[in-house]
Amino acid sequence: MDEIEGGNCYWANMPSELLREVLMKIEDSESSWPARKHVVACAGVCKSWREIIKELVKTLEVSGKITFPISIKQPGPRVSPVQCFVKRNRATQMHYLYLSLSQALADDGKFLLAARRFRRPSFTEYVISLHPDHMFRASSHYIGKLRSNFLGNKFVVYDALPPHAGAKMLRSRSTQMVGLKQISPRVPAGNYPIAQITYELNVLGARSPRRMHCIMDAIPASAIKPGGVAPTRIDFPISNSDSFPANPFFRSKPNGLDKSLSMPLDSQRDASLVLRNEAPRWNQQLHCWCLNFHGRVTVASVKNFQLVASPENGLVGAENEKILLQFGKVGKDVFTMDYCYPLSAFQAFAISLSSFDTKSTRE
Amino acid sequence: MSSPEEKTLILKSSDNEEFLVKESVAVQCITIKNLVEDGCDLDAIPLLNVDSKNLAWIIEFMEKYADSTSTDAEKKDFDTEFVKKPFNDVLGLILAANYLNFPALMDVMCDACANEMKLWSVEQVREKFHIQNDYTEEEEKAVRAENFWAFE
Repeated sequence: MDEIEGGNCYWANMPSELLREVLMKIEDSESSWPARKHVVACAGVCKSWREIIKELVKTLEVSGKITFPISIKQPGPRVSPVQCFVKRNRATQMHYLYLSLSQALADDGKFLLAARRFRRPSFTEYVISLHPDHMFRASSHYIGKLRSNFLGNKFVVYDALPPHAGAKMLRSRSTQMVGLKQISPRVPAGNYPIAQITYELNVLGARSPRRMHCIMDAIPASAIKPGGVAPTRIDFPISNSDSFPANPFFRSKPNGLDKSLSMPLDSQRDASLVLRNEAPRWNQQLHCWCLNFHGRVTVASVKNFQLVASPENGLVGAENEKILLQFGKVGKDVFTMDYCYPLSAFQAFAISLSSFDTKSTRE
Repeated sequence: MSSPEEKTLILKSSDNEEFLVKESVAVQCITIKNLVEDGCDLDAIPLLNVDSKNLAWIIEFMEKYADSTSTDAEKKDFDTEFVKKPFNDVLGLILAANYLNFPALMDVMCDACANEMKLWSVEQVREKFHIQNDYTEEEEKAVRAENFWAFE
């Protein structure tokens, strides 16, 4: 059925600039999900197509579009938050994160991440994965996990991949790789602590909203200052093949993209970004604590929160007011989650999950 | 309507078929426009990379688009019918439009190509484009996982 000119398969030799025109049309026209899957499919055809697509697709921060799975590891856009929702299945202890596809709070969604809750004798853990049927650490879909302490008031978020060059990894009994020197071509799933979340009783007493405190070890405080940047991964490392970049990081500058060979070491000297929850105000008429969720949260719940930058970061004014993560209930086992730069979907999801597990500290 | 003095060009396909086209229509192809402006004095303009099958279609397209009486809606309807061709003819027209530097045709044909591709699986794209899958087994696994997530 397919004609061959002069005995040559000239379609495979289509000039790359023409192929680029066609792929650019696909990338341009399919900006929303589920249609955006065609962009991902094109990248799966062969290496040269992947190169073109990867060049056309900008990071989430720049384009505002989620494209490849790595998007869930990338900082959100700076201005408008990414709107998502979480659905919980109590029977299976599964939690699903979706990208919102419509104005409805939690209706039409594109699957992003799944988390499964595991209760252990002295802690609770949420394993986070790209594939809802592969909720275990050894899976290639494993993204990271959230682990609570015994009391359920302190949590650590672990990333399967190093957040930046020189990251320290947690040694666990099951880890075969120690340190960063690669022995095998495949990058193993590690356990890199990237955030610490603490819940405290409010000084006003047990019946008032608890306080949240998050130290984002993978994000420098400078990221939210004017001209600041947050680490951005552009690909999952899978092997030593040429089709995937050897250095999967680059820094994004506010005005565009700049590939650098490795993460700048000064990100290690920078203090970590600290977040705290916005304090609700007591509403005398309604007789409850209130936060303005701008219509995105509709059911009162102790799980609801808004995170902003803490004054500990040494910032002034408006930088402390922007809501970086908002999470709250909209129905039985349904929650909305909105996040923006410098947080990623993975980080936002993990932090939100901690809200499920905090033991009630009422005495 | 054309005046009696309006210049006509002879375009010759790679398989030596000759087509008469008004100059005002033909210059939508920048390649032809440049030749005319450079004072090409050949009897016929040879288009070495365009066969008669494609050239006939291209002329049909050029004449529709040069017609000042056709509305945008009519052009859209025309495009919709025009692109209903076997896939390798679509690709052939893209190559020809590129060679002749005909932006309007290029746009329409690339859109058509993109729209067709969206209906296909990765394997089908490889088949239609005669592309060799150059991913290693491990990479192919990662590609499949990536597609699973995207199509979830």
